[in-house]
Amino acid sequence: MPELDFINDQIVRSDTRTLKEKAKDWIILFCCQSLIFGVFLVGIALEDALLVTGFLLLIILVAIIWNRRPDLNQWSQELLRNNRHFANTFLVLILVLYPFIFMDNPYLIHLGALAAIFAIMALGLNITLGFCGLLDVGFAVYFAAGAYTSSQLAVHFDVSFWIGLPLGGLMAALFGFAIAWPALRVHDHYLALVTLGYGLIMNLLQRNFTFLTNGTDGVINIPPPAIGEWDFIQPITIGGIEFPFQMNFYFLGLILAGLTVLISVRLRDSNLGRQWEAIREEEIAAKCFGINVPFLKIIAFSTGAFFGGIGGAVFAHMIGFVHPDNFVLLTSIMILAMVIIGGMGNIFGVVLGAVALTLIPERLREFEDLRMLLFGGCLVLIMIYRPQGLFPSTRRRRELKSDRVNELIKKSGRK
Amino acid sequence: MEPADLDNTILKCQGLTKNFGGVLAINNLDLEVQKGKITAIIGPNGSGKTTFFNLVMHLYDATSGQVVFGTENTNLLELPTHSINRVGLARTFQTLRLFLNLTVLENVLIGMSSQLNSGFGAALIKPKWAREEDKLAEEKALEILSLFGSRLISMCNEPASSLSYANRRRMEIARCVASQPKLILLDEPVAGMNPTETREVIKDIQKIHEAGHTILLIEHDMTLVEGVAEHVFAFDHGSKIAEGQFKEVSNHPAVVEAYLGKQALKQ
Repeated sequence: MPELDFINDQIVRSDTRTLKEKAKDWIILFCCQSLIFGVFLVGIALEDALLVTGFLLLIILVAIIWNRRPDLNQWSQELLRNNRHFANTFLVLILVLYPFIFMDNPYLIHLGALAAIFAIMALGLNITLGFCGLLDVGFAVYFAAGAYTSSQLAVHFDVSFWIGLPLGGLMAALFGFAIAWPALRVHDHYLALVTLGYGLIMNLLQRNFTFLTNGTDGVINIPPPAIGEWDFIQPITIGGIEFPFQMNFYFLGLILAGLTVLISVRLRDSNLGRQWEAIREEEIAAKCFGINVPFLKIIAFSTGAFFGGIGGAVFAHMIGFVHPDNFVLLTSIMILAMVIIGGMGNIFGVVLGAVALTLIPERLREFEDLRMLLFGGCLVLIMIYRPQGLFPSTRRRRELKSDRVNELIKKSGRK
Repeated sequence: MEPADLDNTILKCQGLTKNFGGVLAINNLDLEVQKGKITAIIGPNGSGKTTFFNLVMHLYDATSGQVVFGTENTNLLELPTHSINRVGLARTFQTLRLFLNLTVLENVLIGMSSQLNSGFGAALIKPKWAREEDKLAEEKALEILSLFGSRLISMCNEPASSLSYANRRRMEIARCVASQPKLILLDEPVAGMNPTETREVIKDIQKIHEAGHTILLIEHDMTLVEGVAEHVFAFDHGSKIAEGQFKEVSNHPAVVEAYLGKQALKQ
């Protein structure tokens, strides 16, 4: 039966490549990833306005070509899917090597650490927005909750960062719970408005509840994280080479972001993640199939907020200074933009969105007053030409069970 | 009614009433659904059939009356919707409500999700029992999909949005079966299908019935009702106007009047 052959062809995808083909794939992938990373490095190191412009134009050109050629897109996706482990290992290797390449430019390492912190927070919002479909425009609230909790504990009670970090996360989760509870009765745009208001109110409270936050004076002299006698602003010296202290924060951020990615992946692939997606897709049907919608929404809000708080705590101890101006509406919108531009629900996309939206504004500093104008323009262009985000959340194809599926198809086909 | 039949009742409503402002959508409705049978509800548009389903699933709050279910006489009107599924009811929707961006297999898995024990902790730690539970669930989901021939199972890794209209209707039924309900509510399972497809769905429904499920369905398509229903209720203006075998109900003067008007009766 031709129809069945077609189906078989589609479903069976066990790895039948020979060693030679595998090696070929790996070499291609290695070259492509090195190229992409090389371009990225050049872009990040550029400091001349004219060069930055040219660089941005080049990237846009490549993106347009890629979009016009579905065959290229297909090919690259296939390649990535077949060599997932190789690609991931290479990516991790690059991330670990990054600060060593820029050893003489600590500012770039600092930016990397900042990008990691924002990646943690964007991944948090991705749980609320990408998985469960709840639009939260007040994410800076959780950022602030984590930052204030952990920094005030450290400043006033001498609590170690390693205890303040989870406490900051939990406090943020509590703030997420506090808004999720009343906000459950509203949907979509109305939910966005409620969270928007929440963000604005909380920012005002940060300015006025001086006994908690020091108001507009901000919290100063926040100690850096420490392990025993050694703290994070002391550079490590190995074999006579002194590594800039920013690297400590970079690796802290990298490890925490890695953990967040791991947790996100596990949540996404679990029964819980599936139930969240069901709520996002069709709430009434989800309800009718035994999913406790309000409860799962609260869980989604709190979990997302928890990562916001973790990001906030690391941020506070890295910068050493916390001020209400860090947690304004623009911060919330930036984190939201990271998720939307990266591609809602796609973990890799969201991380990339966070890195891009942390680095691009920095690179555009060359344009001084025009900076935010150009940045806004970039966002508008992306939303026009790629509204689903850079890496839209494509369904993960399950490859397991394919033999069983074929067996069942054949059985039913015979009937 | 024989006393033996009383024990066999799976769903029973008494004096069920629902009004939307001044509109009486369901008016003092009494009915009983027998276990193990296929029961159909017919009636013109706007006669309150879907409203009845929504009341049973507690998507609407009833104005008065009660709905009791199963041998334990659970009052459905006091339960939240998600618990009603756990008690043993599942429904399809007339205006398809599939999880369009989830795969066909995942749609079925969602149907089963309330029976899975893995929650937040299991998602993070992935203990052995959770992985085994997942595997078992997947295996069972594939079996349920294979009830519908190769139509659904060949698409099991594709998003539900790529299914054709008729297959989406089948998908809705498959998702229902997956939650292992004691009573399946089908809301117009063949709406918009052609005669061939209707015949296939009749077979599917009978297959599910043979597998031991009790079915209550709403339908306008009389071939289907005649083909599968052992008991028929006719609704008009939110009340039950007739019940019994299909033959009796279809010739009942009140039913003829409701569908065709008083003129038809005179002829």
